[in-house]
Parts: sequence; C-alpha cells; structure tokens
Amino acid sequence: MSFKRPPSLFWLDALRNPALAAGWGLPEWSQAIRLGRRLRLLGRLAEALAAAGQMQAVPAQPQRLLRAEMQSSRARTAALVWALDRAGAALTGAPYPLVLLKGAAYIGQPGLPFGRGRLSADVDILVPQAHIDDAQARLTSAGWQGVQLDGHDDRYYREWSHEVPPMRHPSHPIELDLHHTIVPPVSRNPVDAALLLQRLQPSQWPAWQVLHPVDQVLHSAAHLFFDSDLRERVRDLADLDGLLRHFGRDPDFWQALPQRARQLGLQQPLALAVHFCVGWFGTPMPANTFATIHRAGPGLLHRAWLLPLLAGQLTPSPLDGLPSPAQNLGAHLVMARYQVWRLPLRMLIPHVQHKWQARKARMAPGTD
Amino acid sequence: MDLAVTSVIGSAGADRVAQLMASGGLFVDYGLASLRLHARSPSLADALHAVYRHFPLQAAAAGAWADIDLSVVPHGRRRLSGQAPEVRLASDGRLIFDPFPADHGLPLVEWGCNWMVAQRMNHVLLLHAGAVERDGTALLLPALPGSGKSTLTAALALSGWRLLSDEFGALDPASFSLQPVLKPVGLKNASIDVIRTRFAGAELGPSFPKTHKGTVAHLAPPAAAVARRHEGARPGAIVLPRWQAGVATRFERLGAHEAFSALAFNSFNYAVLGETGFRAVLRVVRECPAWRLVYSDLDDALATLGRLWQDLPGMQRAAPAQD
Amino acid sequence: MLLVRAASLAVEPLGESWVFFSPLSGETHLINDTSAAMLECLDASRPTAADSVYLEIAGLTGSTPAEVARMCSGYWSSLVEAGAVRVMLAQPPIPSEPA
Repeated sequence: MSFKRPPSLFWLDALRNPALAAGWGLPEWSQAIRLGRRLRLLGRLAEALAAAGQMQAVPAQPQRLLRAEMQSSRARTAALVWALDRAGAALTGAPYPLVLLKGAAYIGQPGLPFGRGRLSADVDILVPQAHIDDAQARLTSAGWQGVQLDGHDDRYYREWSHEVPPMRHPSHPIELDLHHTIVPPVSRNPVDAALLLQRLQPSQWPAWQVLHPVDQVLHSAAHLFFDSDLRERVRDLADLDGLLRHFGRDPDFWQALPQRARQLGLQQPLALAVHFCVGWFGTPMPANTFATIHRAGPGLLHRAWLLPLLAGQLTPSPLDGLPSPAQNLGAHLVMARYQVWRLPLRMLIPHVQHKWQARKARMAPGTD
Repeated sequence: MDLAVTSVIGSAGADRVAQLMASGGLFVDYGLASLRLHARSPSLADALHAVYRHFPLQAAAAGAWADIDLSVVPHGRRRLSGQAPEVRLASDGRLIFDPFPADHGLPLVEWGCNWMVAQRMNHVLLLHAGAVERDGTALLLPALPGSGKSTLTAALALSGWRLLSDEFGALDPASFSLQPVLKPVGLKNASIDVIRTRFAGAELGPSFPKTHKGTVAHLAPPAAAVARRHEGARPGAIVLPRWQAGVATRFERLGAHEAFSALAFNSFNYAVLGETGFRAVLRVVRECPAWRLVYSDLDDALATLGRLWQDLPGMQRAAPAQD
Repeated sequence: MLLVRAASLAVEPLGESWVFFSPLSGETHLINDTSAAMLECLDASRPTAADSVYLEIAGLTGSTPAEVARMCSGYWSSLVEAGAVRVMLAQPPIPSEPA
C-alpha cells in the first residue's frame, strides 16, 4: 500500500540503472527532467547517464538540458570544494576534529557514486560543542560572517537547534552551517555527539573527516524523518538508497546498522528510511536485517497512520497542477538562494525577493 | 516535425491563441529554447497575437517536447470590490515570481521565460547582450545598465539587420556561433515612442504602465528573423552602446580587456561555464574588435554601425586574431 | 614563504593587460603586468620562495629586490584567495585529535 512508489517517480530506477532510460520516449524524458529538476535529482541522473556511457543515446532535446544541468551541478560542486578548502585553511591547526556532514561528506568520499550531480547551497560541518565558539572565531577572522539574525532566531539556533547561525563569505556562494550534533538537542531523541566523534573516518581532504558509514546512514535517516517537513524530500531518500547500496557491500555493515541505531536511539527513523528505500528504490538488503530493523521501528498501529502520512508528504505534487501555498515558500527559497549566485544582482528579475518568512522556513532543516 | 503548422499567429487571430493556451497549451519556439504556455486570459491572448504575429501558430501537442513549461494562474480572490485581479506564473508545479496585475500577463510571461532560459540553458554561454546579424556576421551589444541597448537593438532589427535576440548573446562554445533566442524586444518608457515614431513599420504590442521598469511595450520580431531563428551567426564585433541626451556621436575603440569585462562580468552564466566560458569569451574578444558608441541621435548611431559593417571585413583581413 | 602556482591555472595576455582563470576557485581576474610576472615566476609542481620571485622580477625590471618586495608582497594573499596561488606551509599542519 504505502510501499508502492508513486508512478510519477518511475525514472528513479534510472539512477541506479541508467540503461533503463534507453527505452524512454520524449514524454518520459519530459517527466523525468521536469520532476527531477524540481526534486534536485536531475544532476545526479545526468551524471549517472554520463558515467554509464548512456548520454549520447539520449534524444537531442533532453540531452541538452541534461548536459546543462551537469554544467550547473559541477560548477556548484567546485564552488563547494573551494569553500571547504578555504574554510579548512582557516581552521588549520584547530585541536579538534572537523567533520563533514551530508552532501559535503558525500562529495568528500569519491567512492560514493551518488555524490556527483548535487546542487547544494550549504556545507554542513560538525565540530565538538565545546569548541564551536573557537571554530566560529577562526572562521570569522578569515572573513566568514554570521548571517544576521534577530535575538529570537539567534537563540533558536544556539539553544534549540544544533547549529549556530549560518556563515557566509563574500567570495563564496556557499553557506557554512556549523553543527555540534546531528539532531536538535531539545528533541525527544538527543544523540550523544561524543559517540559519533569516536568513529570518524578520513575524507579525501586531509583537513576534513566524515562520520562512520553506519553513522552517515543514521544521520541521513534522522535528518529526514525527525523533520516536521518532509515535502518532496525524495532526494534525501535517494541519498539513503545510495549510502545503503554502497556501504552495504560490506557484510559487517548490515550487522552493525541496527545495533548502532539502538545505541544512538535512532531506531524509528532507520525503520522508516528502510521502509521507503526498499519500497521506492528497491534497495537490496539481507532479509534478517530488514526484519530486525522493522521490528524495532514503529508498532503496527503507529505504522498504519504514519506511513501513509509520510508517503503523502514525500510524494511530489503534479507537474502541471497548482502547488500548495506552503510549497511556494520552498520554491522561492531554493530559487532565491540559488539565483543570487547565478544572476548578477542588478539583473535579478524583479518580484523574486528573499522573504523573511522563507528564511524562517529554512531554519527548520528541510532544504539542503 | 510533429507539430502541425497551419498558419502564423497574426492571421490565426487572438481567439485561436486563447483556445490553444486554455487547452493543451500554446507552443513557441524561440530558437535556442522552446516554451509551452498555459493560460486562460483573453488579454494575454490579444498581446501575444500582437507581438508574436509572425510566429507559427502551434499547439503544444501531447508528447511533444518543450524546454520550458509556464502557466499563468489566477491569484487570490477579489476580497474587496474594485481590487484588481492578479495572476502568478507557475512552472513545473511551483509558483515563481510575485503576483502581477491580471492584465499584465505579457510582461510576466516574457520575464518569466527569460529567467527560465537564464537558469536552464547552460549548455551555451549566455551573455547579457543584444545580438543582430548582417552579411553573415553578428554584432554583440552588451547590456550595461542605462545603455539603451534594447532601443538600439530594436532600431537595428528594423533597419535591415536580422534580430537574433535583444537579451541573450547565446554563444555555443563548440561552434563559436551565436544562437537566436528570438523574443519580442522589450522597450521602456521613452524608447517606445522613439521606435514608434521613427519606424512606421514597427509592429508594437500593447503598452503596460506601472511595471517596476516603468511602462513597457514589446516589438514583434520581424517575419524574416522568425523564419531564420534556427540559424546561428559567428560574432564579428562588439559595440558597447550608451545613449546620452544631447551628445555628439562618439565611436571609440576599446581594448580587449574592456571588452572582456563587458562580456564576462555581465553574463547570466559565465560562472557556471567555468573554463569553457573563460575560453569562449577570450576567443570572442581576440577575434572581434570592440568599440564604445556614445550617441544621442539614433539615425547617426545606425549610420555609424552601418559603416562599421562595411569596413569590418577589411579590418579583419588586415589584423586577424589579435589579443 | 613558499609558493606554488595553482594547477591548471590559465594565464592569458589580453591587450595591454592579462587575465587568469582558476579552475580551483572558478574565479576570473584581470591583472596587471606585476601580478602576471609574479605568477610566471611560480611553478605548479615545485614550491618557490617569495624572495626568488622578487629577485627574478628585479632582474627583469632593473629594480632592486627590496623594491620589488615592497611592491609585490601585498598581492600574494589576494592571489591565494582568488585560487591562483597556494601557500606551502614551512612545516606540516598539526593533525586533528579527537575531542
């Protein structure tokens, strides 16, 4: 029932098996490109096709747009890598670990195929809570400035959330989000960051580390399923599928995953993640692992209303329909932030404005 | 071609346009990019009928490709009597831009479409410039603020030059050719009357007062330009225009570094194209001489550019590929 | 201070000045002869001391190395921030320890 993937997302299969796209006509391509773009998976689709040698076979009209999207996402990724280079230089010699989270971590692990084709506007980094002020100070002296927030919002970030206000640098279009844990400390399931910091792994850059593979999965699941706003966050599911497929090649991974979820108190988000990954992406996993995770997740009654609710939120609204009012906010947000980098300011088409409300919506982690 | 072309929009009539927009969508091919437009708006249909008059009337057939999908949707309800109705632009299920007055559908669609082109068409370098072609070579008019670029581009388009675009110098780096993005030329305020007065044959659409840019109106691209909107042209020269009241015409040669800045730092997607964009702009400024044209007399400006075009082949033979 | 030119940095003459593109930073900058000379004196694979750069430019221009140093030393940080030049640290960085 809520296992079934919405028909409009048929094209997700091409992410893991690009050869499937060879059977698509222009209507399928149109759907895949328009929806893929809206869900921020278009670059990943393009990179998957290119890596599999399938790009040349794509009909000319969609092929142009796929290539154009690759151009955008590669430029965006290069900007992110450069921002990390400069932020890393600012933090050189800091006597504490510097950890990449989420998209930055995926890009920082070149073996992760789905790290290519991302369109991020933020870099998420984690430092121990005791050192967060020091990290901020080092960044500030290198030209990074905290985005101005009023007293209420500043307090929200510092006390209630797990981040300090985002930091920007005049030379970089990327926003730096500093975290000291992976879920809000005031949430019902606080996660002890010290446990995460015990098992860090190297990234491709000497200055930066990443979480242990199991912790990356759990963080991704918690980030998605502890959020109040799951609208259309299919990209996060696609990331989870990618992580599970890549790290799941190691049999020890499947042993460790449910155990660690129990240790960190993240069994519910893991169960939900696995439910949707298997249902919508066909993520392979050992049957007994699936059963273990399933049992530790929400109970039958809970599941009966929760899963359809989540499925409804995750399902994208129709391409040619009218969006809900709340969806516009997200649209403005993504477009407004992205276009400030893309278009010279004086050429910004008018009436596309940063809304203060949009900034507040951003504070509930839902846009990456 | 899988889209039945039966007539041009001008002869088909506004009602037909309205019909197509309200059913499967009106299809418009600009050259570089194509649009599928949905709307229920007689005033928009009238405006499109005026400014797209030489474009073929095409229905967006189901299953046919369009690069950009736009819908004009009603916004809100009339809460108070007398409050003017508003519309918004939606694309792929998302609203973009703030509401516009319902009778300002055309400027909304034109700006929305420009924004979409600038966002999406990153397979080519999108310079912010007017582009016209004559004798097989293209003239680039970088659009610095206050330059009067659109007025001059419109005048050239009505004086024997082929209009490629008034907004986008869309350079394909591989072929080194400017691709048409052939849209109605947006004119503002005094320019509207300048063009209307000077060019008896100018096919202007309705005027829209009180936009954020003042009053705007659009010049319909001439039929010959529409017919050739899939023909690119190699750039030949760069001219930075500047209209200034009362001044005598000045036509001054610019250095390559000034031309470079005028193109690269005034582009929609230069940053996105990375080294490809860098090398493309470098090639343009090395192969195309650049001038600044300061003028108050439009006819004199047109004559200056006409003379330039006559002299250009000789210049290129004398000093090829300079940096 | 040991300096390395950024890999794949493209430096091109442009009329009477120069322009560079850095694939590292994605930035494009118009630069004058002095900055171009500073970049020319560096290598992408071998670190060069700033003093050698000043010496070499002094030899080309007839200034003294001290004069060149005064003129040029302020530019390095801009070139680093723009992604044209990388600074090699004299000693390796302190490795991060777990908290």
